[in-house]
Amino acid sequence: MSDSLKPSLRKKKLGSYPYFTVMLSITLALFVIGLFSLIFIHAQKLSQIAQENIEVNVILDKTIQENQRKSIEKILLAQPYILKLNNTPQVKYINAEEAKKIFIKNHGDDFTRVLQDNPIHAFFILRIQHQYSDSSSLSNIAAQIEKLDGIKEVYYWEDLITKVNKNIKIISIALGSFAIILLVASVLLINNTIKLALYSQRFLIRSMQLVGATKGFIQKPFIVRACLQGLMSGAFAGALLFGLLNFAYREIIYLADLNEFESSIIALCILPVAGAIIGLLSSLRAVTKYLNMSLDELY
Amino acid sequence: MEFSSEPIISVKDAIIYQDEIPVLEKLNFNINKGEFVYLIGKTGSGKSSLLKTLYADLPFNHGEINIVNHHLKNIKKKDIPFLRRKIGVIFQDFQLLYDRSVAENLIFVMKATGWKDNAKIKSRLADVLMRVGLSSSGNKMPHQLSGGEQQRVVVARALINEPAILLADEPTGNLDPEIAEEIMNLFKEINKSGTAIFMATHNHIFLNKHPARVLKIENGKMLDSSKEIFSFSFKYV
Ligand SMILES: Nc1ncnc2c1ncn2[C@@H]1O[C@H](COP(=O)(O)OP(=O)(O)O)[C@@H](O)[C@H]1O
Ligand SMILES: [Mg+2]
Repeated sequence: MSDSLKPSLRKKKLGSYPYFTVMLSITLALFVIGLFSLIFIHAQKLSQIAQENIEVNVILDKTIQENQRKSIEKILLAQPYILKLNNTPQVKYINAEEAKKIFIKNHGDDFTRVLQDNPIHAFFILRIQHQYSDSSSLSNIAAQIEKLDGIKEVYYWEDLITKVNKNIKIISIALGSFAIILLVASVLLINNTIKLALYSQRFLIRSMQLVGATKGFIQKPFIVRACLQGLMSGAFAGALLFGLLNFAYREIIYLADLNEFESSIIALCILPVAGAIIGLLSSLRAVTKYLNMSLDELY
Repeated sequence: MEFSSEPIISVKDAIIYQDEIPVLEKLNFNINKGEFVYLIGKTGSGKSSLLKTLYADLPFNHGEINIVNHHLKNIKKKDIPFLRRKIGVIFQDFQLLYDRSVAENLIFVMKATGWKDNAKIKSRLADVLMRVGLSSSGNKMPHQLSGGEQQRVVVARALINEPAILLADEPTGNLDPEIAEEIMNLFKEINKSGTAIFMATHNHIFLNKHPARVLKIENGKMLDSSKEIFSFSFKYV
């Protein structure tokens, strides 16, 4: 007699729950969501920096008095749209002599040899907070400043700004739509994984229902389990991404300059919570579906 | 003098549906406390449909059915578990869970129906196993038991919550005649202790050997042996 005729003593558990598959796919889905969040955070910061590098030049009248210049500076320093770095408002005064040097450096033509007087005006260089970097805000700001006495004109490189803003907009829309697609795909993946896992439990659910178990009693263990799995998968995905983030910050100098390590960590901490919530909703949906099925539909 | 208590099942002008097709119409009958009633009829005549309706597994909207003090018409979903705890059901299609022992099968039902105290669970487990004559089989797996013994476990499972009535859907359908007789005797014992029994069966030997009231489904109508005389036999199609 061959061995294969021996009855198998180890019967497979009725509707054994595929723990490993579920954990793996939830971890993968949350890893992708997390990775994308990190990319998004850093891209966001990058565009912010690009916008903050926009400079607005406030050209002063040739005849301006020192006290008048001071009062203009005071007004500028107090404006809400002025970028502050380390609490210092980014307003820089360039006097006529410095302005001349900059001009010569840029143009290489010493016109002072021809002209007696220095024709170059003194000016302020302002850096603007990124919220005010769109063209209409900038033109409002310019108009406002131009109303002050002693101002010749306010100048900024409009073409460049339009271009920067346009590119940022395109990139944001692309990243945003990609994020939505990824998020939906990940949630669907988790949802389907849990639904399939619970499919193997449908007869157990049915059995409990037939003998008089309440809905809550039947739902609870499945929901608790899915929640825990979501939580653990989220923690696992978060830990993986944390390692990756550390590595990237060490290896890529530009990333460290962006200085978004802390906000990245916060984003990673959201992963377990997101996992638990998605697990809860998916399992609740799936169990409720099997609870409402008749026996024929279950087969 | 009439027995003054309410019937345990009372059915008035009921229509039983399967998939929106009426299977049984103008049903009228009562079953009293402690009564033993057979339900007979051809395969496909609607016996299972009637029993499923009684334990609220099929929706019921036409007529009146009152069972263990629950009105089935428009019964709320959340009340169904509590109805099922008051009736013991021997299902035609739901047998034991074969991945766990006899005791675990019974404990599964106790936990599902709100039992929490472990000492009470243990003593009730011993009680029901003793009642079906399987005191020493608690740790066995279902596949280690004979067909008759498995069916005894199914009966034990139905008895757990001390139901006032057992609904049994062809409980001896797949058993040898001698084993079927043993199970029948088990039902009679249970009935003697006061539990009403409503049993759908094909087994004509029972009807003669263990006479009791018979409800017969014929051409979508119900005949009642306590009210009229009719032949218990019918042709299989
Ligand atoms: N799940 C179902 N869906 C639709 N029709 C069904 C279903 N189960 C049974 N029926 C139909 O309902 C009628 C009664 O069936 P059933 O109650 O199972 O009869 P019995 O138990 O007396 O053999 C039959 O015509 C059968 O084809
Ligand atoms: Mg049937």
